[in-house]
Amino acid sequence: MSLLLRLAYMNLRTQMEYRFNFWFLLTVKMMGYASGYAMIWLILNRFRGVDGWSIPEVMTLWALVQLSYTLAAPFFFHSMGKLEHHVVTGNFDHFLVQPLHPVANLIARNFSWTYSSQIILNAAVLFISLSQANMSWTVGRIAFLFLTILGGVAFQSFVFLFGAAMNFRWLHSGRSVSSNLRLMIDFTQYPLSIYPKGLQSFLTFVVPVGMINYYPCLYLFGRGNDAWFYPWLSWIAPTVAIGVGLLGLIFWQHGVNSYQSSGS
Amino acid sequence: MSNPIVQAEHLVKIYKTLEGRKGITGAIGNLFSQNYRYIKALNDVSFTIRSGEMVGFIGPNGAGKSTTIKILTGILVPTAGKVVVNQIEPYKERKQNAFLISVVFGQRTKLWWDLPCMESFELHRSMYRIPPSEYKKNVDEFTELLGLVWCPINNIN
Repeated sequence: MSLLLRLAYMNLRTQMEYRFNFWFLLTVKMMGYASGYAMIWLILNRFRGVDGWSIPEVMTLWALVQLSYTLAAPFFFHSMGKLEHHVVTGNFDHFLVQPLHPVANLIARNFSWTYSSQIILNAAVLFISLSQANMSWTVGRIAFLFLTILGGVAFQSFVFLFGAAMNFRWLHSGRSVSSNLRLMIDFTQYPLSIYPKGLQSFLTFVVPVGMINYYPCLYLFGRGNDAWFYPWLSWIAPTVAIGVGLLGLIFWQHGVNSYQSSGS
Repeated sequence: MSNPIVQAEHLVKIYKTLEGRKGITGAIGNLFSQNYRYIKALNDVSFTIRSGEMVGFIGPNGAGKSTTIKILTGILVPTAGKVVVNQIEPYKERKQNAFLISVVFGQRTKLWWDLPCMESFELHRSMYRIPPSEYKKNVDEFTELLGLVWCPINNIN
């Protein structure tokens, strides 16, 4: 563990050698997220909510997605993004002949410190939205909320890991796989109940992005009337999301065995 | 006879590569049907290296030297056959294997480009759990021999 921290520290030192880039990224990323929220708020303000969900409730949905992304991205964005290059050049060899788990090694070397600002922003939006929404704060609900965030982080990690693992077998395919999965996640910007039944079941059972925010929020806001399998689908949602994350890791480890190691 | 350290039994490695077609029509054709070519890099390779032996492994380009080394180090998974190094199968227990071996590839550096090389050494010290006294002895020896410096690698060139 201390070894991994040491790698992450060396990586921070490396990033800080390029000071302008460091602060510039910090600011730009923050503005990107803020405009995303402004978009939803402006549109919803026009329609006074959607499908019976109030503005703060819909904002909660999106804040959960964004927060889980910004919590997963520091670990996986650069580590998995660079994997393609490592695989193409054969540099990935190094990660297989060092006495560390390659995922942990990649993460520590490529940990991104510039997400801190967005994490604060997203956490603030989530907190404000929840306090405005119709939710009664109980110990159980707060614990469930943390579990939900954890599930979201796991799901987002799955997208990174799954996409990157594709590169082992089919070079250059990772990015398109990840971005397609991200498009699925974009559906969760609004409550799934606004979509046709077919799409709803797809986003529940096939690519279960609803487990990140929609189903947990049904429970948090006590919206049982219009939902499927309420409440147990909501209760297991975080667990399902965590399971999906683990699946990503298994898939990644399996993918390593297809690595062809170019060059000599 | 001392005990075997490296044992390779009937190693086979087959690479699957895309058969490229010529020209733009070929490129379009590739999008719809792909012909794979199977290259047999290793065909039934067996050998044993015992403790204390010093072995050279030579052959012309494309003979399969790198492929063999990559299987021995756990980078590649053999298509068939079995390899045992230090009583373990490298690709099944990569981490454990990496602890016990070392490998240097030409043209590829293990050092961090943006930081002084001492930082890289420190890192490897904790990665391979080298005792501080032994580490210091080695660093001193090489500092005297080569004049190791405290500036980032990319400035040394």
